[in-house]
Amino acid sequence: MSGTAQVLDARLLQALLQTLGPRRVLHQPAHLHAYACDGYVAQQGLPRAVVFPETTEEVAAVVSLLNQYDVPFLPRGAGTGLSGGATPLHGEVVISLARMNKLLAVDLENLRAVVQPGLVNLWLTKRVAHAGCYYAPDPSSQSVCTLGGNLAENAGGSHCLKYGVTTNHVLAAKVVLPNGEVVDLGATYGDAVGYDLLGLLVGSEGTLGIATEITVRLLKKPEAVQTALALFDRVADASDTVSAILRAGIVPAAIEMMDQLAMQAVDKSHYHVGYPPDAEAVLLIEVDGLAGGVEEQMRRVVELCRQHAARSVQVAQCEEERALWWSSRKMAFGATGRISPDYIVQDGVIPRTRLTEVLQYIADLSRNSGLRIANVFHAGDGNLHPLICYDARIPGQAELAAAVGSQILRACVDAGGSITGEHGVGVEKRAEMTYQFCDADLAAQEAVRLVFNPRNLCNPGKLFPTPGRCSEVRQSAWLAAQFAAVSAGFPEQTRILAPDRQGRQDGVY
Amino acid sequence: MRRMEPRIGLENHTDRPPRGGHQVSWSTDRIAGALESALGRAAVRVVLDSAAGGDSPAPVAWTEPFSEEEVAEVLRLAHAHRWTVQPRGAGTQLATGNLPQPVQVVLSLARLHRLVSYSPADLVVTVQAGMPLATLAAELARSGQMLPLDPPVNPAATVGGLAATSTAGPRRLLYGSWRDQTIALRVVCPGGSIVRTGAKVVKNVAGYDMTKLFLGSFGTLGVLTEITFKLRPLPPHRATCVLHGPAGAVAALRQRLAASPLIPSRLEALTPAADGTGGAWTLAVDCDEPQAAASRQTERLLQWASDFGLQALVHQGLAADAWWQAWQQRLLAAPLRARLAFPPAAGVAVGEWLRQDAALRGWDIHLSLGVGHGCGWLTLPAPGQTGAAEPASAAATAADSGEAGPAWLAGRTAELAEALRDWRETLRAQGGSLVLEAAPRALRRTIDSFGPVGSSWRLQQQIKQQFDPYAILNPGRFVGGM
Repeated sequence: MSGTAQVLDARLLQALLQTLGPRRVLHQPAHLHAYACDGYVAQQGLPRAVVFPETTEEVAAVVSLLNQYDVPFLPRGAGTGLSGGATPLHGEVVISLARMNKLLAVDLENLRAVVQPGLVNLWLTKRVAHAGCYYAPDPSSQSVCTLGGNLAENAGGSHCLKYGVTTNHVLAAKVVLPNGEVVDLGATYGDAVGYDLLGLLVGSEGTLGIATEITVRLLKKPEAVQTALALFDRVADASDTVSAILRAGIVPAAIEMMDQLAMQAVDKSHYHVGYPPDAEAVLLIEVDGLAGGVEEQMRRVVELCRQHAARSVQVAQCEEERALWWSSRKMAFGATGRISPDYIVQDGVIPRTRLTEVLQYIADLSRNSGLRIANVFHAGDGNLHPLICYDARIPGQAELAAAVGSQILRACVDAGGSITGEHGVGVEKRAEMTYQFCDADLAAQEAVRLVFNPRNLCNPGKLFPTPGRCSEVRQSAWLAAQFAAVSAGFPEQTRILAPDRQGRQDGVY
Repeated sequence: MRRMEPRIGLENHTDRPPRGGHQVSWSTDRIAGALESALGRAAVRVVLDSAAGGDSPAPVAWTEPFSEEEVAEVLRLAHAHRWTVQPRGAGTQLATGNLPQPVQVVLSLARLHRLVSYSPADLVVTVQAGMPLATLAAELARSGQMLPLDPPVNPAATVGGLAATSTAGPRRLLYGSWRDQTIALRVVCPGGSIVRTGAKVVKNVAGYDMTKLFLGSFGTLGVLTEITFKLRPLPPHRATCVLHGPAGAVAALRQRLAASPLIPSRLEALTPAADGTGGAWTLAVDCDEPQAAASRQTERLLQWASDFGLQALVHQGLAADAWWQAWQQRLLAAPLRARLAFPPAAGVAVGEWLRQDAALRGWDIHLSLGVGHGCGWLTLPAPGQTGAAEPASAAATAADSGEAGPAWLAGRTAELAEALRDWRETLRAQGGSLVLEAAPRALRRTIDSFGPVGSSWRLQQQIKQQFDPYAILNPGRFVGGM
């Protein structure tokens, strides 16, 4: 049995090398470690190989080949995902789109750009900035994450309150389907004829196909932008301010919140703002639009902050000040590393009016579990990012942190919200999917997967809940046994692939 | 390869088809009888219906469920017995899409018209599918909010029907379309399973974005029963800047506007000029920014109008609303209406070409082109029709069902179909499209309303197969005759 697998893998490897050449196929275990997980590090596994195609044709050729050999695969951008969507758990071949990083076309007149999936989000904005244009979705990782990854995860960002998320800005895509077929979805202008399959692809976490050319909408930079920083003694006052602003008929470009612990963390980082240690919450509020209107709106925002007992409200006086405030917000996840050896980021969404009550629930959970929880989030969208701090060296803390995270997500669903606003389900939140969706809802999603990805070779085991968890563990144990033969002489690779008793594959990491 | 099992359609499949096979033996009366015993007399009757697919009025079992459970019961029975079903809101969009095959059951959502929940501070509203868009708009306006979708439709049109046909209007420029505003759905699928998509929060990426699949699917995958939208504040100030002049000047002003930081919420270029006051084109510009900024935008537009020699008029408040109302009436009155997509920067040039080509073929077409976002309409008014008239109702559309079409078409159906096909090809070559929204039956028999689907056709068909394996929902109406 394992002998057959060995021969099969050797032949597949030869075929991959033939298709892409030796410089664009990684297969030595030492080279594969960097691809064992994405930004979600709790579960890892070594891929069978990593390949670097450069054209749609090459992606299609690789995918066809993998179908021929019945080998699972997954697409990968920059690997900044936070839910394990790009983590190989079944000996997948990772198809890295990193070398497909060209800006293929820009049409400034019609505000369209065509990009390859490996182009970094912020680079697109930089390339069109000379014409006063930008690409709106701005996840915190925008200086490194790719537009292909953004499409797969339906990435959000700080400014989606007013401008929407990735799905509102992706207009068309050339897609290599899981069977190697190439199709065009969406339309550059207007609506595509037929079912909105592009709408399904965006946010499908790499389970429905691989976008190799993406047409996006560009926006003109607003004439005026003003940013305010408001400090509050009480979290509840900050939450009420968010509702009050929206209720007043103002749609700011962004309303971000950080709590006390998060402020302490970022102030210890490179982006020191100097937040007072006793303030419970800070709001970062940005309004943009036509000059004249922005000043009018900012005046009202400041007024509303004051009415809700803000300790202080400052409006940025220069671009440097604004940039510092934003950096302090956008680097908050990383900064949490300065106050805790390990942390889990959650991504639940709640109706904005229920911020106070859910934040209180999280505070109670923190107290009861003894784990510190920092909150850094898109308050205007109701998109929470509790950062649950723990120390993996203390036995049981990782499990406790995961359990607390799960409880928070359930509280979000109970409040009428969602388990994930922008990070995706990946492997991390598969179990919580059954909390948000019932069997009929999931059956409909499964029906879509069957159409696009009937053999389940394309990013298997992601996004969907795993009722047959036992059978999956068995299957991956079987895979590991098969793979052990191939990687004879690479004991660590074998060990990582073999799941432990809990079905986790985090082995040596 | 794993066999593809239809997953959705077989939910709750307990009824067996009657002996002797499923295709024959079900008369309208028998179907109505079966529905009646399931739902009760008040929800079912047999009526002659002219819009259920036949060339002439034919009897259908008309059901008006009182609840989502009853909708599910209808679709459970229909799926089990292979009855064909047309879901219907107010019936205002029946001329859109391909000519349907005759159906046995009309499933009216008229009784599901409640406001389910509305939280102004969350800017989120949930309504049942049968609520008219106009009713929803009035409800939201009381709280100073709006659903920024302004499709040109009869005021009776329901949110469900419009979401299913995904008809957008000029405000798409700033706010996007149904796919951008809709965040959650409840859908009853063939077989009777109730599927929830999305979540009632503005950001959500849990699982596939199934909401998108059902929007614009023409009721061929499931019946929408409940829709959740995200909302916007009502613009504090309403003004429409209306500029008239020749094509070159309008195009030049449009270009200057596009290069400026101005934020139009509607930017519609019309030809021939709407008010007939001089020049071939009209450009209508709205601004939804706060008052001070909106006034400055208007000032700048007026300055540019004078630079380019355009006549200008500014309508404020109710007068602005009235202007757009008249615009809508003109669009709806035309017996032929096609939705266009095109590169917005080339909008005026595309429009000039279309007008001239149409004139050479002997047709006097009217255009309303969203030259900021690249969507618009081509209409062909009936000869003698000027300005506002009664909207072409479903009944009027059905009345022209003869082989030669209505009198105004004067036997030139094939010619018009050929022109539409040529225009469609020209637009497609530039990344756009042409979809018929309203047309006489004679024409819809001659030309596909949607045009080619392209390389995704296999996927499209398989999606339909998964959700509606027996093709009971709106057979023939959607792309490729699905």
